[in-house]
Amino acid sequence: MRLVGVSMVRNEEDIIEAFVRHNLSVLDGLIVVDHGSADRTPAILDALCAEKLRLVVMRSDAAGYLQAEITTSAAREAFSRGGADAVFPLDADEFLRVGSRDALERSLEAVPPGHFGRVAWPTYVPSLDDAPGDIVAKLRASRRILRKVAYTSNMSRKIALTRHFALESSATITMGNHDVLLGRNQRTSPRMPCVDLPEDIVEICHVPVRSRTQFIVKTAIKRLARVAANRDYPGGAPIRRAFDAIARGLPLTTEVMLMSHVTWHPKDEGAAASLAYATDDVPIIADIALRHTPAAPGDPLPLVLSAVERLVRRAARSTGG
Amino acid sequence: MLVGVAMVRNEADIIEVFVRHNLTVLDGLVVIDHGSADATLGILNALCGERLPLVLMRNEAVGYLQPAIMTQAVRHAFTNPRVDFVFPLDADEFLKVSTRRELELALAAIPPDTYGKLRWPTYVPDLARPAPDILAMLRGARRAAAESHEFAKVVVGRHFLAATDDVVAQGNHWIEGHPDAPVRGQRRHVEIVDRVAAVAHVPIRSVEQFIAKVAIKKLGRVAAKIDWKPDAASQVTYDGIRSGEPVDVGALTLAAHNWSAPRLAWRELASLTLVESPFLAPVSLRYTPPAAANALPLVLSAIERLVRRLASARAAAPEPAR
Repeated sequence: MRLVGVSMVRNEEDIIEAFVRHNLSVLDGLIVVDHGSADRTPAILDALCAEKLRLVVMRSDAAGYLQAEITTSAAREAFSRGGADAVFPLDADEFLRVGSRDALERSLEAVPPGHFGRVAWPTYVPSLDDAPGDIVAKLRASRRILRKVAYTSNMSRKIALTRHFALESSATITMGNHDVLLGRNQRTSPRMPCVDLPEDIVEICHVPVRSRTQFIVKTAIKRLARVAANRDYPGGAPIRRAFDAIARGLPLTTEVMLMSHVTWHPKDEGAAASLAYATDDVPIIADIALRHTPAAPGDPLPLVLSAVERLVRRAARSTGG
Repeated sequence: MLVGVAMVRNEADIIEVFVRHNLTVLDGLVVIDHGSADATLGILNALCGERLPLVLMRNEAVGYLQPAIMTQAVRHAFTNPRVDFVFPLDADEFLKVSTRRELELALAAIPPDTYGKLRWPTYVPDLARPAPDILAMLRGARRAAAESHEFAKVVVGRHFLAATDDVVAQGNHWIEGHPDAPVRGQRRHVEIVDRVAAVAHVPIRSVEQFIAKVAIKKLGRVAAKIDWKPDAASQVTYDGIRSGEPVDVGALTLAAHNWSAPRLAWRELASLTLVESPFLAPVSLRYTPPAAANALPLVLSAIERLVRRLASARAAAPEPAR
């Protein structure tokens, strides 16, 4: 059985190498679409390709929020031309944890016709300082967030696609890779039926916040891109509060950094303020060696400027005149 | 009656001392906030609350409109019949006068239909050893004995009101004919002697303030589609900031001393004779925040505003013909 990952990434220089090397220890191939990174992500991906890893890198400079379209297209490509039997759509901050490859393959083979698989998606938090150090060691020491309220909506899991997805021509991956719809309309199309894959067989470990610098860059660019698209978050939204904290020079606590990048259960009010953690017996990634990743998070301002200059240039062009 | 007019944006570190100092010389100030994203507007409102002779106006127009806005503001100031002269200023400029009496005599000696010009010395603080607060920084700033640039700042007399073809030039350096006027070009000016009055200019106050200034200016120019050329000094500076290179304090000090001078006219620090020439009145501050530890918060606030304006402009633009 051939297992392939597809991913759309942007500005992930701190983690992209660990993402590629780790997930290729589980998968047989990776297709990564760089969507306009302004940092060293493209250079790191090029360096990894030069190592002849089982990695295909594509570039997309399309403006807008096209994750669903681009990931759907990459997944279909993986099935049709890449010979995949199963595809895992992943973000750059996600790491597959598989106990046994055989058990995973059996689990995927058991997905019924017309269905897709869903994979548990626990969130992990490393130390959030900017101290120089190996991101691998940091990820290996990260702890799992324990939810006060069990989260059972479709946002609590990610997806694993088998050939049943490829056979269903209308199947479309949703934004965030949480679901599959039978149709292109993200609001009205019906869901494709699914089954949950057992957590002891496969999990996708999510590390959305890794350092103060990465948090600032991620928050600033995400918010400003939405403002530029006239799709700002509503007032009071966690990401707006996080952005305001950065723009006002307020101290960035763990709570501030997590509240906007972790999906909380609606009843989990104040969850970020009273977090409980568990330390797993097995770290989320193997003890892999990195060759191309910057040693420490840098100053966020250059990264923000690089990304925002591109945004402003594009926005100015579209105003005409 | 002498009045100052200033158009300001993102000057929270200096706006209070600008107002308090210049009001020790002038009888009133009109300050137009042009879209500040930092605490500037709040500080100006607090100063208005103290019943200082300060009028605060806001202008949210997008673009590089300083000449048009300043021309309007100067004309507006003269609608008060008691105003004799208007000083167009920036927030980083401080009037340095011998005495008010001598200044008034010098202004009274300006010939009819002529504008005044004040010397514009550049002051530079010790950027390698940041002062504990803005007052200490301004008091420690020194100027070169001779300037690298040839610019002055204009003083405008009442005849400007009748000279309807005259406009304030970019940078408030002189008065010129409107581009559509029958007679264009610089109008007649007379220089006021340096000993009596000058405008002390402090363009660079700290490394962080400089970084924010360059970054915001660059993105503003990109948005307005009047970007710098790749080899322009400002673009080279911005490229360094964007690539994460640490700012070289020595190079910044050199640039600060040669501010407003063309690159070919720059003088090396070793050839500059720096002099103590204090300009700041004994003022104390109530609202000025501590100096920012880094430029990011101000840059982000300003960029958010800029991006929002661009997005609004795009939403308001007519759909392209199909």
